[in-house]
Amino acid sequence: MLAPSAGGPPRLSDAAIDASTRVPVVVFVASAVAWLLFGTLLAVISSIKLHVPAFLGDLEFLTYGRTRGVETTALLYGWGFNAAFALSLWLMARLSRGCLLSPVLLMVAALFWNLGVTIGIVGIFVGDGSSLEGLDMPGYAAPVLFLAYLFVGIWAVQTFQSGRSEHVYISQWYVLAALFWFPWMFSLAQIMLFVSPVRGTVQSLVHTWFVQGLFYLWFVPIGVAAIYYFLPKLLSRPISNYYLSVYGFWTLAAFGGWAGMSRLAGGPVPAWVVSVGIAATLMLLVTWVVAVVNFFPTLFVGRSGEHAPGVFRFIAFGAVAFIVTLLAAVVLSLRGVAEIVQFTFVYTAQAQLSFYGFFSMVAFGGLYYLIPRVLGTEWRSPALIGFHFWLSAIGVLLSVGALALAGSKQGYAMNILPAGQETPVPVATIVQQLLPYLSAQTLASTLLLLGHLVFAVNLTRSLCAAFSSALRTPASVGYLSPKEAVLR
Amino acid sequence: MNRSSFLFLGIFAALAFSWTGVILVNQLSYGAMTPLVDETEGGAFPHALPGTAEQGRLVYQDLGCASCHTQQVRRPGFGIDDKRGWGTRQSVAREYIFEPRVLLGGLRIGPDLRTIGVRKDGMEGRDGRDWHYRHLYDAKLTSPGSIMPSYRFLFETRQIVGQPSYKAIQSLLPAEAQPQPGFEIVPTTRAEVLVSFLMNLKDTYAYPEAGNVYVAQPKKEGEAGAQGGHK
Repeated sequence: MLAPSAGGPPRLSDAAIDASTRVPVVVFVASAVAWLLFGTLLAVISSIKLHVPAFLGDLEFLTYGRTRGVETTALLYGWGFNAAFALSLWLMARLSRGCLLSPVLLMVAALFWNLGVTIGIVGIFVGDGSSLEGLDMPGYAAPVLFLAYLFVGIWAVQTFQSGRSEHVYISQWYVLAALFWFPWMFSLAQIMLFVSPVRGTVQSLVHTWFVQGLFYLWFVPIGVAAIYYFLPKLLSRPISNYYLSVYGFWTLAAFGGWAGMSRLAGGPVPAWVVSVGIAATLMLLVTWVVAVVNFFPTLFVGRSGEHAPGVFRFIAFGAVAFIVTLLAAVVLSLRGVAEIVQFTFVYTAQAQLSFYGFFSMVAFGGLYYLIPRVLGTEWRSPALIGFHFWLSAIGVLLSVGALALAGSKQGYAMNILPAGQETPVPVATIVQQLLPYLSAQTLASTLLLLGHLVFAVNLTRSLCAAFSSALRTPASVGYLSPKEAVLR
Repeated sequence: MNRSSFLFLGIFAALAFSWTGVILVNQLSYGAMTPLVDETEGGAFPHALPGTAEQGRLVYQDLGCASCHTQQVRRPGFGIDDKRGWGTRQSVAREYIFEPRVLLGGLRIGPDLRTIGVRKDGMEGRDGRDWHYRHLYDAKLTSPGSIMPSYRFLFETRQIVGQPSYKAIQSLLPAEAQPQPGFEIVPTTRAEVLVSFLMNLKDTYAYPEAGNVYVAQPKKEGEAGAQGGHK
C-alpha cells in the first residue's frame, strides 16, 4: 500500500512538518550553496580561458578541459542535486502531510553525497575524469553517491507513504517519478560505461540517454513539481486547467527518455534511434502545451498581486524559462536545424537556459520560500532577495543570448560554405569572430557569481541568527517528534 | 490495486520503455559487433591501436580534449565535414569497437580529430610528430588565431647533460621560446603518447556500410539533378 492512509491521528500543522525537515534541509541547502559558489567560480575561470587562453594556462589541473568538467559536476551534482533533495524532501513532507522520520540519518546521507561529489571533483582535477560531459566524475565516486542517494530516495518515498494526505498531487507524481528514475539511469550508466563498458558507440547511446535523461527525467520533474506547488501558494489561487497536468506528466514520462537521442543526429549510431528521438521530442509538445495552459493563465490572467514578490519573481521566471526551453529543445532537434547548430554553442545556450534559467531559478524561489519556514525565522536581509534576482536574471539572459548568437554564427560558418566559394572558413578564423560573445559570457558568469554571493550572504546571516536564537532556547533545537508535533 | 500502485507501474513502465528501446535493443543488435575481415586487404578492420597510442588516449581523456574536439565525421551533405577535409565519408559504428571509452564529443571549438592522423600532406613520420609538438606547445605557431590553450606542462625544460637529446624540440620553436643556453625542451612521455594517439587517428579503410549512404548532391543550374543517388 503506497497510498497515504486516510483518517487516523489528527492532522499535523505546517510548522510541525517544517520543523521535522529542518536538519536535513538546512544541511542540503548549505552544501548546495557552497557548491554553487564553487561551480560558478569555475564557470568564470572556464569562460575567461575561452577568450584569454593563457589565463592560468601553466597549471595543469586548471587546464580548460578539466575546469569545464569540474564546473559542470559542481553545478549539476553539487548545487543541482543538493537543492533538488532539499526541495523534494520538503515538498514531499508538506504535500503528504507527514513528518520526516529520523532526519539525523538523512544528514549522514547528505554528508556522503557531498563526499562523493568531492571525490569526483578531486578526481577530475588530478586527471581521472571520464571526459563524458555530464558524467565527468571518475567511476570510483559513483558507489558513494549511489548509496547516499538511496537514503534520500527511500526517505522521501517513506514520507509519502506515511503521510496523512488523502490526495496525491501532481507535484508528488513528478517528485516520486524523478526519485525513482534517477537511480535507475545512474546505476545503468555507471555499469555500462565504467564497470563493464559496452562495446563501441553503444556507449554513446548510454551516455546520451543518461545525460538527456538527467534533464528530462530528473531536473525537469523536480522543477516542475516546485512550480506546481509554489505558484498557487504565492498567488492564492489554483493552477488554471489543473486537470490537464496529468497529460503533461505522462507525455514527459513516456517520451522524456527518448527525446535526447535526437542529439546524436548524423553520428555513428543507428539512424533510427535519432529519428525516434526527434519524434519523441516532438511529442513533448504535449507537455509544452500543458505547461502553457497551466502556467500562463495562472501567472498573467486576472493577476491580483502575490505574497512574497521576491520569491514569486524567481518562480515566474523559471516557469517562463521552462516553456521557452522546451520549445527550443523541439526546434533544435529537427534535422535541418541540427545540421547547422550541432556541435556549437547553441547547445550550450540551451543547457544554460534549461539548467539555470529554469531549474536553478525555480530552486532559488523554492529555497527562499522554505528556508524561513523551516528555520522559523525571517530572511535577515529581504532586500538582498531582489538584488539576487536581478543579478541572476540579467546574468542568465545575457549568457543565453551571447551563447546563442555565438553558436549560430559558429554553426553557419562551420557548416555552410561561404557564398560562391569552394573553401570553408578556417576554424581558427571562426573562433576569432566568436571572441566578443565569449567575453560577454564571462561578464554574464560574473554577474551570476555576484548574485550567488548575495544569496550566500543572506543565507549565512539567516542561519547564524537561527542558530544563535536556537542556542538561547534549547526547546526549539533540532527535531520535533510527530507525537510532540501533534500535541502542539 | 489503488491509484498509487498504478502511478508506480506507470512510472516504471515509462523508463523501461526508453531503456529497452535505446539501450537494450541496440546492445543486442550491434553491441557485439566484430571487425570486418577483408581478404583482399589481408586483414581485419578496424585495427586495435598500438600500445603507445592506447596510452595516449588516456591523456586525451584526462586533459578533457573532448570538451572542444569531436571525433565523429558527419556524412557529406549533412554539414561540410567533407569539404573541410575531415573525411570523405561519415564515421561508422564499427570504427569504434576497440575503444575502451568512446569520446564522440559534443562541441567543436576546434576541428574534428577523427582523421587528424592522415589529414595534412607530409604529416606522416617525423614531420607530423613535429607539427603536433609545436601545436601542443603553442597552438598559435601552427594555427594562427587558434584559442587552444598551451600544453606547455607536457614538456620539460632541462639541462643538457652530455649529448643533447634527439627528442629535443626547441629548434621547432620561435626565438622567444628558446631555453637558456645549455638547456633543452623535451616532450614528456605523456606528450609522446598523446601525439602517438593523434597520429593513429586515421579511419582510412572504406567500410561497405560507410558507402551505403544517400548523399544529396547540390543541383547545379541547368543540370536537372542527374547527379546524386547511391554512392
